[in-house]
Amino acid sequence: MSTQSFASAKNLPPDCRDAVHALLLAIADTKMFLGFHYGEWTFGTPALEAGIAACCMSQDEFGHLRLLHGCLTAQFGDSPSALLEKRALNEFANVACLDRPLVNWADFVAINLFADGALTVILTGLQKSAFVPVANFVDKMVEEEKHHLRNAQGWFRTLATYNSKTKAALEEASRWALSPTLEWLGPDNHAMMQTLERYGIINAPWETLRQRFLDWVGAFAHEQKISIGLEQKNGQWTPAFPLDFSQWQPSVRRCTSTQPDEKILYHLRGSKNAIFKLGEHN
Amino acid sequence: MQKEKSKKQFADIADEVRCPFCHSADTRREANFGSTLGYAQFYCFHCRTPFEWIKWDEHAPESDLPSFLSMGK
Repeated sequence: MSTQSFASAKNLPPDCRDAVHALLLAIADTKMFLGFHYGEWTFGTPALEAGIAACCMSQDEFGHLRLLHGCLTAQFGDSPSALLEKRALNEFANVACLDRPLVNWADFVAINLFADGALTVILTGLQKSAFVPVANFVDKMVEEEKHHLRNAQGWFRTLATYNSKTKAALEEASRWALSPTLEWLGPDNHAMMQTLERYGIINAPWETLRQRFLDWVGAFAHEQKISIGLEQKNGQWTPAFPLDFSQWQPSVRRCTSTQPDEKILYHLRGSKNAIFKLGEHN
Repeated sequence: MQKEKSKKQFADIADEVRCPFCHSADTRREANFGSTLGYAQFYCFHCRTPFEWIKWDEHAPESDLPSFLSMGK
């Protein structure tokens, strides 16, 4: 691993620059969709306190998104409209379980634990990054993400033990969310992730970060007696279902041609409020 | 009595808040509330950055959290 640091994207070698840009975009996209779903569920939660937590997490995610989009604009020259409005649906690199509206509260808890959890593991991998603009803000993000995971774990425990119906719903939602989350984390030995490690952009090999996620959710779900499709082998948790990365595309971190729901993007882009933009001549 | 105790704890903690960006202790509380009731606003004199601090964070049990959270520090 390199010990040099990069004060700006201009100093990054070309292959590393592309890898950093793709990773930051994937993190930003996932935060944008997480923020949308958390916000949508602010008024649909089964408890008032859960609604407040959902609202707070939504604000956190959009705050982080603002930082990430700011970094992508300042360091990589991405225009704000190119990041949100001018991209085709199949160019978004979010975790695929966030593509559609959530069906029930168990789905919310599942994305909170799996999608937000995977994202947080990667953020911890970016702490002390050799890419200084990211190293400057990632500690703050991890501090706030702690509370998201505390919320996810608390609700996961509650649904796992409340009654057989909540347990079954949680199990179904967990299996639905885990596979696309692992798809987003991607293969261990991809050249893009090796480049990130070689230049010290991430502080551990990608397979280590991915395994930290698996070991955490595997052990946690096992403690709650929830079967999520992971099994323990030689002390490590691994997927008990096949994951084929042969068609995996690093630009969108997906194996298949899935894409976000157009209606969600319509809301995120503010399209329905376009005519109300004050000060603009229509 | 309970309120008095909580108030004292918050004041004690808030005097020791470190900047999440540069980790300097040269910070000042600007406001008791931030974007939500759970946050207080601070300013870091070292890196000259305003930041929000999550109240009571120091008292939440760390043992309940995934171990990977401390691995990147």
